[in-house]
Amino acid sequence: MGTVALWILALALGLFVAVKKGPDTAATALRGAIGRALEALPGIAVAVLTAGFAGQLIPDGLVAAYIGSDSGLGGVLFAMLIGGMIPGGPMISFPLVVVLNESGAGLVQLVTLLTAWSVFALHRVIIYEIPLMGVRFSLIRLASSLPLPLIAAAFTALLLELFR
Amino acid sequence: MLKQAFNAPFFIFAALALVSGTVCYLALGREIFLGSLQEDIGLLADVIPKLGAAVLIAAFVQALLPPNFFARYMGEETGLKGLTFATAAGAVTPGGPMTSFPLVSMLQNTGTGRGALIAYVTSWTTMGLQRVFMWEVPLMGSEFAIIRFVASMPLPVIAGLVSRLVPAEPAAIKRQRA
Repeated sequence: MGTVALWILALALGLFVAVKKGPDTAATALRGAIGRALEALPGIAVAVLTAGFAGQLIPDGLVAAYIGSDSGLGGVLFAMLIGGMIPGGPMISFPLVVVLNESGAGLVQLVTLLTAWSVFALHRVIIYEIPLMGVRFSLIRLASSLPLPLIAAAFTALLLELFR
Repeated sequence: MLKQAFNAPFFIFAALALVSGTVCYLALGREIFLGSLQEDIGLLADVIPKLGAAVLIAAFVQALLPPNFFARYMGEETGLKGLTFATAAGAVTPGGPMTSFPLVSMLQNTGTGRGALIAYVTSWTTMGLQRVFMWEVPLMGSEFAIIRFVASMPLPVIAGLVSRLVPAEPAAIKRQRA
């Protein structure tokens, strides 16, 4: 989906909201979106710069050897381990994934990494989940989530097999 | 707003960009440094218009389908239906953990089952539309985002079902026996 398609979708949804929920709701959503975009922009800019320079500094072949598309189950498990250890939100993980993608990581491995980061994110567990939900809830959720990165990897491999 | 834009991660990354840029310049030379810089600016020029459209799409979807719309049915519906509603609610919940966990905590207090709560958290973390549109589509492209989103669709339900295998709170079991 290109930029033009995204904008057409955005405008169509905006019109739909304005007609269905009234122009005030649409205006509130618009203001919220502008604020969010402005908040994210400086972070994205410096993250992309860092990702670019780091990508130049990483030796060729290193990433591909560990989590390339031919790294097999070992690569998937390694991606799961890295993903689970990323300390921070999307501003840390997505630039990392961009660098890894450009330095030869496989698609299945990247999906595994992002899924592991999404479900395990220990900083979030410690700062938000345990204080609000209790240790028991967090432990049960983490245990139930243990197989998820591997399941996501299997489904991704299946999708690639079917549609490519 | 400025405070949220120029937060700690921004300064960490600004410092990292400076350090990695300097190392790149010194170790690899001026040409590779400028090439990388040009590539990054190209990527940003591609990302920024996409980001603009993406935050609008996420905001309008949330105006049409607020998380509470689905969350209402999470507690009442049992079996797979509750887990499916929880998955839908998680995907349209905007923002970071400071907005989603208070909702989870409130749902827990109003009696929503553990399976649905865990499906909700899993869905919000793996399929959260705001994150997909704000970060993944601009930086990784739509194809990657769609493949990962579709592959993640079964995950919240699986986590919810697995979590239901764990017995209820030990204290609750003791109370039942007594």
